[in-house]
Amino acid sequence: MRRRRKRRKLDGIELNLAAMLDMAFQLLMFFILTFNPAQNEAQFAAYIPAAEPVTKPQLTEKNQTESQIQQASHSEIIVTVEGSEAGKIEKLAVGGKVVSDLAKLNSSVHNAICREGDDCEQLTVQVDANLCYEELMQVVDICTQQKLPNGDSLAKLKLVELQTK
Amino acid sequence: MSAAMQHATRAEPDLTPMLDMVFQLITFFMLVINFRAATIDPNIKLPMMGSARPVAANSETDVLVLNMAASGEVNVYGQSQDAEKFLEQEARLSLEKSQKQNPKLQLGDELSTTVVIRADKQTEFTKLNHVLMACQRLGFRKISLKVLDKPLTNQASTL
Repeated sequence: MRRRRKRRKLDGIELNLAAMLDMAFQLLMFFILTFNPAQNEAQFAAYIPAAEPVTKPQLTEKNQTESQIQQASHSEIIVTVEGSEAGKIEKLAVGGKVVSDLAKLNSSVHNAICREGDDCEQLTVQVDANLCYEELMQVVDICTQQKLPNGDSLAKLKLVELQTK
Repeated sequence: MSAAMQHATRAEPDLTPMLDMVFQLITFFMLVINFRAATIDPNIKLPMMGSARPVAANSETDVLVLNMAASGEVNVYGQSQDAEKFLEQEARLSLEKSQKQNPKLQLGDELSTTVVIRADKQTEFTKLNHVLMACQRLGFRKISLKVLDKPLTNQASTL
């Protein structure tokens, strides 16, 4: 008997949905107007220990200078990127040895890492002050793709500014 | 007139399916809403680099996004900032947070915050390096350099 009475009472209730619909439309409008799809962004992660200016080395096609040999003898590989006035890559070098283009930079850096063996900890990129970000990222791209002899990815990347004498 | 009103049938459309549909749309927009979009300056043209790693969701807890225009101007949440002052302020806040776990930490020690730099493709390295050196001095060691992994579509680029 109780149940029957309850049912009779509920049958008579009519919810006014118009107010709820108004509110729902307002929320919908807010979300539509603030909708901003995420860009296809990616990133290069770098662990940057310290930055200090270095003297611009004289790059030679044949041999390294003594100072470069000393620098390269540490457990880090030095990649030098010189830029043109327009901010484009003009000259590339790995450990003082000039590399003709970006494709060869990859193999040169790989060889340098293999030579260093397990001592290789970080890669230092000496960058010309006026090199633009787009060109720099091409070099960083190649450097971060490198694998260490133990199979790990190269985690430490140091960016330093080249300063002319 | 009053007679006509009396004879008019009362139209009561069933609003339930419309409400269902609206709630489904609201749910969709709530799920795809991107709160981080507020940190992004749409005027900055990032370089395109196919081999960059996509950003992993929830990979970084504390992230500080700096937008850097080609002129070297640093923009955070739509406001132009002095990079060094802003970074120092953020470093102190991050340090205070880290000191709760390790009270011996000082300004310049490594902080857990990752600095994300969104620089315009025409930005000169010397301007970028100015920010990088400030980050290093203040203890921000983890840096992420942003690029695009796919070219922007016309629709996305206009947004």
